[in-house]
Amino acid sequence: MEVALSPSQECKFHESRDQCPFTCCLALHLAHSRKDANSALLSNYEVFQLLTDLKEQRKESGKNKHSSGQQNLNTITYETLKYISKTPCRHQSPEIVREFLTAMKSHKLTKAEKLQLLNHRPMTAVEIQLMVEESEERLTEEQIEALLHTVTSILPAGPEAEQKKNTNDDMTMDEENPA
Amino acid sequence: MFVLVEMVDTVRIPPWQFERKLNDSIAEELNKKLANKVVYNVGLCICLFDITKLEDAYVFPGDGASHTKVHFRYVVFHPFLDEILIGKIKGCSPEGVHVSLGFFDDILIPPESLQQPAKFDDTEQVWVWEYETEEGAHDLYMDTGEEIRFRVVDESFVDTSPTGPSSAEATSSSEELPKKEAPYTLVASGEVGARREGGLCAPICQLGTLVWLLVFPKASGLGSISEPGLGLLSWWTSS
Repeated sequence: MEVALSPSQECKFHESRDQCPFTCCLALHLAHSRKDANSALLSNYEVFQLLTDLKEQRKESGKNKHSSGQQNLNTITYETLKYISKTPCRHQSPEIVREFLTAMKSHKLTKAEKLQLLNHRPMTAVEIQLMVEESEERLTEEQIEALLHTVTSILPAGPEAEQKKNTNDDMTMDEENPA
Repeated sequence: MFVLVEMVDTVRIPPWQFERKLNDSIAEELNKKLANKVVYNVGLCICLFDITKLEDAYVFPGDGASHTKVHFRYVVFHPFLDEILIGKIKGCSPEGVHVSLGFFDDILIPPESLQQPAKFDDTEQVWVWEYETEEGAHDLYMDTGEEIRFRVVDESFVDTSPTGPSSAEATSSSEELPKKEAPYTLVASGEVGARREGGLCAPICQLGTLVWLLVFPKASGLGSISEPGLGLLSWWTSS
């Protein structure tokens, strides 16, 4: 299970061989600089999509894959899917995500902030202040309102919010799904 | 919350699996090895994303299996610093509030990062936020099973690989057998109370729902400072 670096190979992420975890259990290339770390971020929707597809694939390939070795994968995919299904990412689609990111360009937020907005779909100014750093310096109240409006209009509501909506009989709200 | 990590490893395929497609066998082996496991300094591995490169497979003398060096990308749970997450309260102890995400359990909110003033109720074994308004003090309990919003403040990785017999003198991180440490722990802040520069108040206090409004000047220094919006979700939902 060990992968050793040959003398001619240089690890591009560490200055010296002593710091390099290459000779531990797995050889890992972990991006160290903030820039690289950000470029590898995945949204909850992407993970949701991936795990759902994986589940379909495994179902299709038959029941003979239920060996004990796959138990860990089963557990983690089940739990992660359960968690993500309760978040607003459930109803997203690639088009919605693309539309959201285009709309976000004007607000000048960092990648991490946009990701959090995408994953959480904040509905109040308080939540925006949590996710956007120094929001009271960077955004005026109108900008925060505009941001909230963009987020709630483009991203579909989470499963819990939809339940609440359905039980509100006296409210006549427009369809929130931005079809 | 999730990142894509590029990794390299050598995968061993035993001879009885040679009839299967190599990619499928390799994917299965990698998932068997990494899924639901914590890799030191990387995070909790979820599942294989894709295989980027397959090098030549070799068969070594004495072992009939093929060994292939694989470059692949894996989906790993590794929240970045200051990320906001929502989880469920697993329980409270004098050490703080334990939060779980379902697939990841080792999240701790230490007492100093809770809304102040907070006290630990020994009879019910639960942390309580003593929220004061003009009408009097409200005790907001952090009950098990409640959803809570928190900010990731720190993470710690512990190398839980077994130590050999000769390394008894060496490492400071050698553990005694009975003590079991979680390989990957997150420290979070659930404080809600705000300390920000300037800013105006956010009024609205309704009985039973959240509210706070006064904004205090921002304190500098390390450690989490109370922030509006963190804490139980039920504290912050408007009617």
